[in-house]
Amino acid sequence: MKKKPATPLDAAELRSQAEVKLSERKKKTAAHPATEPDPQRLVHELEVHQIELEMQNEELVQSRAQVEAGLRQYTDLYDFAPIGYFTLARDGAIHQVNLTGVNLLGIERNALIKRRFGVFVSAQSLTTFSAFLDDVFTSGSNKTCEVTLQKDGSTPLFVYIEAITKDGQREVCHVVVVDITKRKQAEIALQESEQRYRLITENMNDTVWLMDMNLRTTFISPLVERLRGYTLEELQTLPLDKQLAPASFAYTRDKLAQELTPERLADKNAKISVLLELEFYRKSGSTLWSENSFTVIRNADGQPVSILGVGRDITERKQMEVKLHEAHQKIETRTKDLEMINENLDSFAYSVSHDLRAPLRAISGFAQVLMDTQGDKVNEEMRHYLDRISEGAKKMGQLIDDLLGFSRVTRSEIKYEKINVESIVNDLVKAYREVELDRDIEFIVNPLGEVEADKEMLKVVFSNLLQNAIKFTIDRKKARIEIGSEQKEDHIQFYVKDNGIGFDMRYKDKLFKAFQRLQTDERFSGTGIGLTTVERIVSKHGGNIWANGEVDKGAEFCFTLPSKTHVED
Amino acid sequence: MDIEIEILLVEDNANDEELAIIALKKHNIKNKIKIARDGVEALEYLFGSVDSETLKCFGPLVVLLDLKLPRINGLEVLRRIKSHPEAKKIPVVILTSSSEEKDIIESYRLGANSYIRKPVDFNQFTEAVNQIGLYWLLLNKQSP
Repeated sequence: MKKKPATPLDAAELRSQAEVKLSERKKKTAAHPATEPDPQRLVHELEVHQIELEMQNEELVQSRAQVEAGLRQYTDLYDFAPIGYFTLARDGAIHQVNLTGVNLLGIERNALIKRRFGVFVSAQSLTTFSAFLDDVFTSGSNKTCEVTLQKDGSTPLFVYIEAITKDGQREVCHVVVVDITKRKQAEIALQESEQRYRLITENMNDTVWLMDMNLRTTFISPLVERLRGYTLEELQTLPLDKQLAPASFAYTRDKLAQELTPERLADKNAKISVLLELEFYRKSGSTLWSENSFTVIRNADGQPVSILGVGRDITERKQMEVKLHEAHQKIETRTKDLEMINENLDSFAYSVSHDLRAPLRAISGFAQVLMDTQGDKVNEEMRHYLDRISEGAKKMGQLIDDLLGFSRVTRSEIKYEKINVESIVNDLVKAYREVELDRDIEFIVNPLGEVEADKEMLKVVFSNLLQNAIKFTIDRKKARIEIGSEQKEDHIQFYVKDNGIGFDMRYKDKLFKAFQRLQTDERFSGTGIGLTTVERIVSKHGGNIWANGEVDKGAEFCFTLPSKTHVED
Repeated sequence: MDIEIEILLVEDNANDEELAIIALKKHNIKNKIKIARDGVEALEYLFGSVDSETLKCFGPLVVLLDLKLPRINGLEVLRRIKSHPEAKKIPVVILTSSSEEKDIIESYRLGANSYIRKPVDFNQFTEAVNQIGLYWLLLNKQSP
């Protein structure tokens, strides 16, 4: 029986087929009656035949079971394979698909059959897929591609596709579809992180490099090359002592020896990081300063595998530091010089004050003694000369005092405090009234407010100006001296006005110059230092001083003091 | 013990010394005056020797002390007198040419009883000396 063995018949069908065959056989026998068969033999033959049939039937049942098992196995293999199987026609229509393939596309099997696979390919992959399918059918050999599948409402699926056409016929192809989404996502993440890392190392202002545990350079960021002029290849073979200035190399060697001890390296949990400011050589031979951190990198097992260096160019800062240091040293030297000069000035002033006055005292003193003790023998002329001697000595004493005052003002620092100016001026006025009893002087003290200045110095200013006013009004029957102030935006302006002999404005520049005197009259004698001292004090406070006047019409001295705050309340 | 001495004048300048004596005499201050020419002589007079810690002379009612002196200066003499439990009772008047603020401050810090700047004018000088004499020798009662 050469019937399709792959199609097993069920028992009922077999029976009916057998009945048909038997009746056909009976018809033949009836049409051609042979010699009457021996009934005994006939029975035997039938029995044999029956056994044959039984055996045949058994064989058939067995083979049917085998076929059924094979089919199950095949279905298992096909449907539950971990990858999608498709059979596609030339136009991409799905002829067959296994369950995994169905799951990949997420649509029922029945709905998939006859639909084109391309429907499920994402728009951006469609061209790739079409070209791939063409290639498969025209080449007839194994082809692969990677596309994304777009399922409704879910994230795209990355798939790997491998296909081959059936031997001899090019009507359909067999396709394997593997979900590689996870691998793809990992790849993308890796690419992104690599790109990020590249962007960072290329664009940051810090240099990054890696060294192995023998301190050989294994990686440098692009900035290292730009800053130092060396390529990675050059640095790989350049030992550290050729990369660093001698002092920096020795420092690094010592520091690393200190930090990278075998014990600490062996300790898997020890985080080893060193901060060093180092002077590197450029390829050109010049040097650059870099502030670096060295960190030991360990592998998954905790073994130290490399040293990560991160550095920042601090050449400019270093240069500034050096310059600053030099400047500091210069200032220090200069300050010392100045301190010495000041000290010298101090002791000079001290000597002047002490030693120059002693002989003057002797001159004035003994002249006086002579007059006192030898009164009866001293005639008018002698008395006149003795007076001259005394006067000269006294004047010299005054000059020395004024010079000392001036030098003290120049040397000393301002001690700022809040001052009630009116009370200072009133005290001075009171004192001068007592001295100038024989003169008729009207003092007018207008409101003077408060100012921040050195009290002693301000007293010197007002006493000089008042003394001048008193002196230069000596020939006035009624002298008038007015003191006042005006508050301006950022300063306060004071004035001392008199109705004295005044001065010629042409010489106003000479008023404040040391030893310059505008008066020749003996009555207005002075040392020529008073206004110079006043000017020095005012400018030391950051103010200005000037004078207005007219011959015989009086003078006005004005000065300003800034109203900024030096003193905390 | 030289109890007669009432004024110890420590002065290295012979002119100033003579003028001081004239000034004192002019105002009838007739007390006995001992002259010391520098700090060493002053300390030797008071304590017997420079290093001694024992007051030898209880004599002077007042010390007129110049600041700028050879060997040991006036401020040091002042410090020695004023740091001694007995000697510190003797009034010390600084009589000097210096009007430097730091000298004045330092003198008073060390315990000077007065600070007088020697004026160039002899009349002012005698006036100043007169006042010292009056105050320290006549009016001021020494602590017992």
